[in-house]
Parts: sequence; C-alpha cells; structure tokens
Amino acid sequence: MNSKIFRIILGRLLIAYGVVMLAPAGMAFYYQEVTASSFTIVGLLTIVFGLFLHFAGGTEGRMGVRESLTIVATSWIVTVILGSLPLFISGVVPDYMDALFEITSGLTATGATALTALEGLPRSILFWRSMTHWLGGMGIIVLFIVLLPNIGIGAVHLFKAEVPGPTNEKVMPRIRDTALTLWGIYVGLTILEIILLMIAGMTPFDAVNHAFSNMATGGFSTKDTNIGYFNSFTIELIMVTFMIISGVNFTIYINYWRKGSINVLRNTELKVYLFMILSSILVVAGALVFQGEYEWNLALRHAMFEVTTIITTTGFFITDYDTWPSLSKMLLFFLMFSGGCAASTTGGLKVGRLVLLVKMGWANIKQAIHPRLVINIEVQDKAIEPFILQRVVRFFFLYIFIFVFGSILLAATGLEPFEAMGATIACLGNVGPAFGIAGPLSTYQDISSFGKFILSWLMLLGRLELYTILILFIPEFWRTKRNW
Amino acid sequence: MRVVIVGAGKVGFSVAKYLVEEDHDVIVIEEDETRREIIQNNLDVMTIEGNGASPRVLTNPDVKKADLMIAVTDSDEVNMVVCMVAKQAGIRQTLARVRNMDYIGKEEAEFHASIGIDITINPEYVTAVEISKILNIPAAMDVEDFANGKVRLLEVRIRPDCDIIDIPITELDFGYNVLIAGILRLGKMIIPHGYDELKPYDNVFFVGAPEDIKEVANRFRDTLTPVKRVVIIGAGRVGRNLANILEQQGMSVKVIDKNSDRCHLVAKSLKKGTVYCGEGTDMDLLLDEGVGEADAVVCLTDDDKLNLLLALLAKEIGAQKTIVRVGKTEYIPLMEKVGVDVVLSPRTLTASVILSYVKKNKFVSVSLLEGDKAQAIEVIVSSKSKIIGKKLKNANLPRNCLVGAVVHNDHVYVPNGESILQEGDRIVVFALPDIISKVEKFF
Amino acid sequence: MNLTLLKAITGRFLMVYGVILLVPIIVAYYYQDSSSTILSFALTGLFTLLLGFFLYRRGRIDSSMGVREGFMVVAGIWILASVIGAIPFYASGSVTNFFDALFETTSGFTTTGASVISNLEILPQSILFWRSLTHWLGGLGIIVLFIILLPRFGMGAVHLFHTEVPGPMNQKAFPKIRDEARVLWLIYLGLTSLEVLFLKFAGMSLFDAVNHSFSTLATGGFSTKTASIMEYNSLAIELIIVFFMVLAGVNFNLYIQAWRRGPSNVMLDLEFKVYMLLLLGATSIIVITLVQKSGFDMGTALRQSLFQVVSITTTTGFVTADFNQWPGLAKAILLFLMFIGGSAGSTAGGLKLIRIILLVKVGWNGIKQSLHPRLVTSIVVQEKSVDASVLTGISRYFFLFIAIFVVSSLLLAATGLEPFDAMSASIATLGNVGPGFGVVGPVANYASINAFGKVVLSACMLLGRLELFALLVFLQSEFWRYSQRW
Repeated sequence: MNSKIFRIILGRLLIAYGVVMLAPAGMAFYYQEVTASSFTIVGLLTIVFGLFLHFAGGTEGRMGVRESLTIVATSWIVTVILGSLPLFISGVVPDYMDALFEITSGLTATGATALTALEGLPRSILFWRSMTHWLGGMGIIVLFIVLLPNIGIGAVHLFKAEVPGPTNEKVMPRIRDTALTLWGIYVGLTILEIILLMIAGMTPFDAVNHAFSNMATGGFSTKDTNIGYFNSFTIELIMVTFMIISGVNFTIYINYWRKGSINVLRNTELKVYLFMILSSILVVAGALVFQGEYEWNLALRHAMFEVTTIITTTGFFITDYDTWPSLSKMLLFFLMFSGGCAASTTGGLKVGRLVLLVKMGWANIKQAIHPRLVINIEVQDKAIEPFILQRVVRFFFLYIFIFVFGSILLAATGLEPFEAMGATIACLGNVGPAFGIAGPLSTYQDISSFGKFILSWLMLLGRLELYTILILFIPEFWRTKRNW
Repeated sequence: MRVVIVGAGKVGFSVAKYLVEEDHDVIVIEEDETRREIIQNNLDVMTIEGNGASPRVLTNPDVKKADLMIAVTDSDEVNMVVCMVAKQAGIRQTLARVRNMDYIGKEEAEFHASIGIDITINPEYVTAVEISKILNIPAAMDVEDFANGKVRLLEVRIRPDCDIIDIPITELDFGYNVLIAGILRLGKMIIPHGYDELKPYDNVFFVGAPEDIKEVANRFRDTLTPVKRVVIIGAGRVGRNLANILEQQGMSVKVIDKNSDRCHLVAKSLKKGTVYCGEGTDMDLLLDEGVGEADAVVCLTDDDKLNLLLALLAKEIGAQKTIVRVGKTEYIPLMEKVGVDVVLSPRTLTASVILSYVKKNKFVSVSLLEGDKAQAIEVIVSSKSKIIGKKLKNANLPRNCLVGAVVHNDHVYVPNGESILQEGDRIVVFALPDIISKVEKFF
Repeated sequence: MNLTLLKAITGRFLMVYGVILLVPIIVAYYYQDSSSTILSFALTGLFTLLLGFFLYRRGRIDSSMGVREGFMVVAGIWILASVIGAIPFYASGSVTNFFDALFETTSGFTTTGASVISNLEILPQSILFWRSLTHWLGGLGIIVLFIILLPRFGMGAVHLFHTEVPGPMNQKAFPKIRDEARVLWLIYLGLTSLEVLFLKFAGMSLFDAVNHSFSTLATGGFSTKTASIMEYNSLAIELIIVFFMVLAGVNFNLYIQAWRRGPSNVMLDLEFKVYMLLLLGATSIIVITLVQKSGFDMGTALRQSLFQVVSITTTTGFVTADFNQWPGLAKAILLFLMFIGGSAGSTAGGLKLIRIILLVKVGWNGIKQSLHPRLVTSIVVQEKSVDASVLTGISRYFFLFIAIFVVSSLLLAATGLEPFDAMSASIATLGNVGPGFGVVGPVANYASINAFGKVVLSACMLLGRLELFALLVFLQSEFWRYSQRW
C-alpha cells in the first residue's frame, strides 16, 4: 500500500474515473435531476482523492506479481465503492447494499439488477449504470494501460489479471499497443451498434445505453421488461449479432485488423462457440415447441435471443424464460457456466477451457485401456503444455467449488436450492438474471442484504477469474514483512 | 598406520593427502588410470589398479596388512561391499562413504557394524549439519563440539567496528571459562599469547563450555538477529538435507533450483518450506520472493563461481549472512576477502571426519580448522603421559600449541599455567599442523 | 480380444450366479410365496447355470487377461447380472414392465437403492429378499467375490479389482489380490452379521433385520417397507443403522490395518478425519436451519438431521424424514453431499472423499501459485507425497463426472422433469444414493419417470458404480477393433 507505483497508478485511475463520472453529472444538470449534486460531488471527490494519491509519494518499489494483483483488486473494489455512492447519496437507492450490488453488477458486466421501476429513474442513473458496464467490460485496467505510459513488466501482470482466458498469447509486441487496439475496436463496434439501433427505431438515449450494455455483454437496460419492451425483431437481431461478436476472442479482431484475414475455420474455440450457440438454439426451440406448445417461429426467435444472451453472459431478455419448459431452462442453466471465448468481454468458464477439459477427459478414457500411452493434447495442431492443462483443470475445480460454496450461502438466506444455484452462477459467471426469486422479471430485489453481499463478491470473483480476489484470502498476502 | 583407500576421486585424494602429511602409509586402489596417475604424480603413496572389492586385490600382501580400509568410490553399494569383503579378509577397521539417506540412522548403523562396516559417512549430510550448526549461532563462522558437547569451539570474525580491537588478550574479559585458542590472521594461524591483540578481520577461535560460548557469541551479535529465514539456492543432496534439518529446527526455508525434477523432489519432503523453480541469478525471482529479507542465504550449486556470484547478489539486495559451498579449497580465502561470510568445503569436512576417525585410537576426535590451518584435537590423557601431575607452565609444551579446555570428572574448565592435568582428563588441544605429531607424544 | 477366455470366465461367473439365483427359493418356500415366484427363480437360476456351463465348456482359460478383457469382463458381468436378475421380478409379476425390472435390478447391484415399486408390502418375501441380496452382492462387487471363488486369473485379477473397489490410491494390504479380496469379504460378512444381531435385538423381525443389514453394509438403501426406516419410528433402530452406515462408508483397508496394527491408525487417516468432520458439520448446520426455519425442536432436528446426513453422505439412501419439505439450505447441503460420497475403498458411491480432499489441496496450491508464479508445490497426504499423475487422473475424473451429470440432467429434463428434480435424479443415481428430490423424493419413487428416463438413470447407476471408466471405455471406437494392438 505504501509503494509509490501503487499510488501513482491508483491515483491516475481515480482521476480518470472521477472525470468520467462528470458525464452523468452533466446529464443530471441538463435534465435537472435530483442526482446532479451527488454525481458532481462524488466525481470531484474522486478526482481530488486521485490527485492526492498520485502526488503523495511513497516508497520506491518494483512492480512484481504481488503488486500488480493488489493494484487490480484494489482498483476494482475502490471503483465499485465510489461508483455506488451517487446512487445512495442522492436517495434514489436508499439501501447502500443495493447500490453496491448494482454498481458491482455494472462494473463486472453482470447485469443483475436490484432496481425496479427503471423507467421512473433519473436518466443520469440509468446512463451511469450502462457506463459502468461499458468501462468494466473491456477492463478498467486495460483502459488504464492505454492511458499510463511505462510501468514496465508490471503491465503484463495487470493485463493477465484482467483479460480472461487460459492462455495468453500476446498479440502485439507491446502490451500498450494491444490494449490500445482492443479499446479501439471496442469503441468502433459500440459506435456502429449505436447507429444501427437508432436506425432500428431506438431513441438515441436508449441506443447508447443498450449499445454500451451489449458490447460489454452486461445486460442492464433502461426498461424493466428489458429488450422485450421494444418487441422488435430487428432490434433483437442486431443485438444478437453484436452479442455474438462480443463473445469472440478479440485477438482475432486484432489479427484481422493487422493482417487482414480471418480464418474462422481454423480457430477451434470459435468453431465450438458457434456450434454451441446453434445447437443450443435448436434444442431450446425444440423443447419450446414440443413441450411448451410454442409455434416454431416464435420458438426460434425467443430461443435465438435467450441462448445467445446467456452463452455470451450478457443477460438481456425478451421473455420470462422462467416459465419455459424444463429442458429449455435446464440448458440455459448449464450454459451459464460456459461463457464465451477467451479474451472477450464475456464471463463464465470460457469455451477454450471447456474444449481443453473435454479433450483431457477423452484422453484419460483412452489411457484407461492403454495405461502407458502418452497422449499430447493438441489444439489446432499445436501441443498444449502440461502446465497450462494443469491450470485449466485447477481453475475448473475452484470455479465449481466456489459455485457450491456460494449456493450454500445463498440457500442459507432462505432461497430454494435451484434458485440459489441459479443466482450463484448467474453472478459468478457475470450473466445477470437467473431463476425464481432472482428471475428476469423479479430482479434481485427480494434477496437479503447478506445475499446481495455474497453475490457481489461472486461477481468480482468471476470477472477477475478467481485468483486476483482469492489471494486476498491467503494470510500470507497480508503479512507486512512480505514473502516470509 | 597403514591405510587403504579405495576410490581416488576428490575425497579420496584429500584424505590421502592428509594422511600422508600425518606420516601414515597409504595405498590407493583405483580402477581408472587417469585418476591413478594424478595420485601417483602428486602424492607419496602406493597405487594399485583394480576393484577394491575383488579378492585378487585384497589378497595382495600389501593390502592385507592394512589397519584401516576407507571406501570412497562414487557408488554407495560398492563402498559397502568393499568394506564387508575387507572385513572378511581380515582388515581391522572399515569406513564407507554412503550418500543414500536410507542407509543412515541408528538402527542402520548397528546393522552395518554387524556386517562389517564400522563407520558410514554421508558427506552431504555432514556438510548440511555443519551449516545448520553455524546458522544456529548467528555470529559464528564455525562451530565445533568436543567431549560429547561439553566443550565448544566458536570461530568469530572481528569486524572493524568491534570494541575489543587493539587490546591485549589478557585484558579482555570473556569470562573465566573461555579461552582464545587461536587467531587466523591474513591466512596464517597464530596460537596467541597474553600480549597478542585482536585486529580487524581476524578470525578468532574461542573455546569453552557451551553456555559460556553462547555469552561470547551474544557479545558479537550487535545487529545480528537469530536466524529464522533461510534461502537455499541449489537443491542437490546438501541442499535437500539442509532444508530438512533447518525445517525441523523451526526455521522458515525457501529453496531455489533451476531443475524442475529436483524442485519436486525437495518439495515432497518439506512440510512448510517453499520451493521455487528458477535461476538463482534471476533478480526478479530473488526480489519477488524476498531473498533480500533472508537472515541467511546458502549457495549450494555445483559451480563454485556461481555460488560466489549468488552470495554477492544476495548480500547486495540485503541478505544478512551468506554461506557458500566450494569445491576448490584454494578459493576459500579469496571468497572471504570479497565478502562472503562463511565458505565451506564439503571435501575438507569429509576428510576431517575421516581423519578424526583414523586418529581415534590415539585421539578421540579431530577437527580441521579453516581448511588445514590448524587442528583441534580432543585427547584423553593416558596413564603414560609425561604431563600428569606437572603444572602446565612447567610441562614444556611445544610453542605452537595450546590446551584450550579440560574436562575433569565431567567438569569443564579453561586451564592456565597453574593447572595440573590428571590421568583420564579429556583435553582439547589446538595446534598447528606441523607439530601435531609432537603433540601426540605428550598425551 | 480373446473370446475363448471371455467365454470361460463369463461361463464360470454365470454358473455361480445361477446357484445364487436359487437361494431365494429357500426364502420363498419358508414364507410360502406363490408358486409362480418360486418357479421364476428356479427357472432363471437353472437356465443361467446351464448357459454358464455351456459357455464355460466352449471357452478355455488359457492365457492371462489383458486390459481389454478386464474391462469387458467387468462391464459384461454387471450388465448380465442386471439383465438376468431382472427376470424374477418380471416373471413373478411383481414388476409389470421389464424396463422397470431392469431399473430395479440395476439399482440393486449398483447399491443405489432407487426403486420403481410403489408398494413394497404386497411383494412376495423372496422378491424382497432378492432385492436386498442384489445390494449385498453388489456392494463389495460381484467381481471381488469371484476373484475368491475363481482361481488363476493372472494379471487380469488386478484390473478387475481396480475397477471394483473404487478410489484413486489403492493400497494393497496383501501381496495377492485373492487374499485381500477374501479378507474384505470376511469383514463385510462379519459386520453384516453383527448388524443383524443388533437390529433383531432392537425389535426387528429376523427377515427385516437380514434385509436391512444387507442393504446397510452395501450402502444400498432398499428396504422391506415402502416408507423406509420411517416406518419403524424407533430411535434405537435408527441409531444402529446410522452406526453401521458410518462403518460402511469407511475405507475397508483401514479395518485391515486396525486389525494388524491397532485402531489408532484409523484415527490418523486423513480421509477418515475429514469424513467424520463432514458428517458432524453437515448435521450441525442442518440442525440449526431445521430449528430456525422449520420450527423443529432440538431433539427431532438432531435425530432426523443425523440420519439423513449419514444416509446421503454414505450414499445409502434410507430415509426417516421427508427432507423434500426441508428448508432450502438443508436441501442444498444434502444435494452437494450426494456428490461428495463416502471414503474410497468403501461400498459408498459418489466422487469419494479422498478425491475431494486432494482437489481442494490442488486448488489451494493454485491460489498460492498465482501469487508466486515460480512456486513448486507438492501434495503430501500423511507423510507420503502424491504423484502428479494421480492428481491429473483425479482432476479429469472430476470433470467427466460433472460432464456426465450435466448430460444426464439435460436428458431427464427432456423427459419432462423440473430442473431441480432432474438434477437430483441424476446425481442420486450417478452417486448411487437412491432418493432424490421432488418427483423422485424420499417419500416417492422413480415409477413416474418414463422408460427413456429410466434407461438414462440405469446407465448413470452403472457408470457411477464402476467409476466411469469401465463403461466409458466402450464408447471408444478403437476399443472394438478386432486386432489387439492397432
């Protein structure tokens, strides 16, 4: 905490964050909303705090692994706390835990909301929600790497902590360039979507908010019935397209930008990702038709939207899928674990990991017959190092373990088992709405404060791929005489 | 005494060398011609080509007359077999070098004795124990025990800022039961007299009862804290042994090695200590894992030069004490000069242990100090000794020798000129190598 | 694939099995069951005996069993046992649908204890006895039994044993597999007899005592009463059964060690300690939530919670309460306990405690490693370090288990079950527990599930009992290739 570099980075981050917060402040003033003062005050306070930290000096130090992880964890927690203040101070959200929950859901691009009557809320608040999605989706740190010049090798650690996935292939020689390009693509796509949505009939305000939410695969909407409000197939189609796009490995986009070619057929993860979406849509639609007495048209339309939104962990909805037949619900539940591709804005385990796990499981079965057989796991003709496989398997176990633990805690707050499990994975996987008491139309409002607290931690755990937050629980991390 | 050494490797060579200096008859048996030649050309010993375990060699009349068989080949099993066969062939005493920890232990020792191996020595284990002893006393550069632990020898380096410099020894007060037995100055060992003064960078050898020695050690502590955190670089046999010993003594241990398999091997036996796979010269690794905050860094790779570099790096980032393992004893003074705190040669240690066994008949134990600069000998005063009943100042002891401590009826005291030795007393004598044989005659 | 060897081994097995099928006739005769019942056993038994004899003659034990043969034998014997064992159910009219009969028998041999029979009290005694007998035999593995009875198996014996007695680290107590198998059976037999005595003493009829003891030691769950142990409403009986369920969930190797070196060894075993802690911990939490949320009094809460927790953790499946009505937290805990299962080397199912323990350690090491990228970790259990390959195997097994669970849940949801019911049915069968939640809850049974669902669940039961691989191997197209090596 004392290190100079920690303070500088965090300071600058806060300054930038505070400046960003002035945008909803401006909006609040324009529309003369009750939140005007709150946003302004908190925004300015953040800037001041940031300046103070930045110039506060501190001990010289180097940026090792520990420092990077601390910075990432602290930044996220601090931005959550600060970002939720305007909601609370202005009185719009009287329960502070609700505000925290909301903003955590925002920054982690989860999209689980505890707020009802959205259409009556001040626009600045709605805008701020979507803004947090947009910032958090690509990563505040990544954004940061763009803004901050040299922090040396530490940048690599920071990047790895935020950009999800089992392996990290660097796309460009300098991390800063990669980060910059990522943000560039992100901004470009967002603008594209805003335009398309406006053409499809959304108001500019709605278009911006939903585009922010969509690209981040967040899920917040400005309407209570979410995308169902618009009842427009065009809008749904646009959103589905951008959801799929957001769920793809962004390095593919970077490669396309630089080398001008996408070989979709070669990338295994992408193939599996698209295949999963297609087959799930068929299964869900089929169940809707045969068990739920839907028409094929409507079934496909709904299935397409819901499956995509859940696999990409976005969390938009157009219908109350909680009333769907069992098979459809079951599949949606399991899809929440999957997530999209690595290095995208989605949550979940990530398709890449699932691919490796399946290959490993298959290899094990083969080895049962041939005990001395040596099998190399290969993806796209490249052998995968054993230590990566080890990490994937460890991650999978930890993920399930945290899921179990979270479900039990939620059940303790009074939820039925399936509701508890649904809410847990919906937050851990950064999806958004779940089932039952946390279902799409009921929001999370009826969950106790303690439950919301647990769910907020789960959201952070999921977004930061577990380890960054988990190390906070090792006693060794807190020892002042570090390392021993 | 006639000694047969099987295996002319580095340890074999060292032992042979020391034995020859002590005027014993040495025969070296070695199969490899190159090694034999090296021995032949450098030492005054007899060499025989052959396998130490073969009857043909053992029936050689020269070999048969041997008093002691020392087996120090590269293979534990060969060493053990050599001893067993030698015993059968009538050689009085046998000693085998054994590295495998499975073969070491009390029960194993009894078993070995019963099949013909009198002593087994594990050089790596001996080295590890030595290092752990030094680590347990922070100010120490060397620690030796005699008379079943009743007498302790402590080697301390005098720093320039010490308050006891330039004062005659007789005026220094370390307690009445502690004596300065020797001073190593600029590479030469001096047996001090009352008027000698201590200078900066002297290595001083204190002798006395362990509690009194502890007091002395405490005086040299100043900023040195008890060693709690140790980093070991190099997870070979010594490193592994040391890690286990230190962990059992309650210290926090971190081990660094660049070989993944060795890392896993160590990781398996450590309960709380941690192991890192990486290069010892990797600054990031050293800084990340807090090597600079270690109380002691022990460099145990196979490469002397690397060990030196590692020690200096460690010191640079803030480690308190550095201990280096060295193969060539010639490097020792150089390393100490450059700033390494303690330099150890496993070869010397092994030779020391073997020598003390060789002399067991006359002496209870022998320790080589600072390589071969001096020896500390534990002797039991025999009935035939000319010294019994005479005051020490009248005993006409040779110049470069000193009686450091006496254990009389279980009671330890530091003698002075008035002291009179009795039969059966255990005494610890310090002497320079050239007069050792004369010393033997006295007691 | 050595067909002659297979024929010989299968033949031998069938001969012994045929004789076993005749045993219930004694019970049928004693209790004067209908002649159709007696006939169904007699005919099935004789037919099997003859078939076995025929096969045996056509085959020859001329070479030792390779890995391939080993798997075939295990899977083949289990499937045969289930199919043939279903015939008496069907032929005697006790179960009207053959799929149902198959389900019941599979549930019996895999010691799951999930039943499709809605009214047990009207069944002939011999049929009830047969159910429990299938549990008892399946418990320690029909195969293990046959290693004792059938000499000269060669290397194949190790394979058979391995798939039968589950767990990642099998420590052999005896040099020869046969001796170990024999001792394990003796322990099994001894404990069963002991329980029969206790239960008789506590007021059960001899018939019920024997049936329930068979079921307890095998951690199966079949009862002679539709309402399971709830029917007796006797604290003494419940405690006795709890006691023996706990015993059945312990690694049997520990019993051998206790015999040789004293009971203190048992206490030191890591898995055992965690096992006891888990039982105590889960019970306590459920007691608290029952008292707080459901308004139970302390005594009832303790009594019911203890029984259910032990029953489910050891994957037995007896019930003394309708836990389907319990608060969400209790149900969630019970659901997850089904995944964990009992200790390795016991008759319990599930993932096995030792695997979970090792995975937790692996996970913890992972967290430490994120802070120290170059840290080299090793996992040590009771002074012995665990090989990396074992850990890899466990991790992948974990994934496969979950994968099968997911697929099975989806298939069941397709048959119309609600998500939570579907998941509970999947794990209740995959983990060989027995009762699930909702439609397949403790006071219900599996009768309402359609045929397809029952097939899926039967497959789950088999997969769970044989620790996945023995059966999954069949999915491998390579396995079927005729020539040995390529």
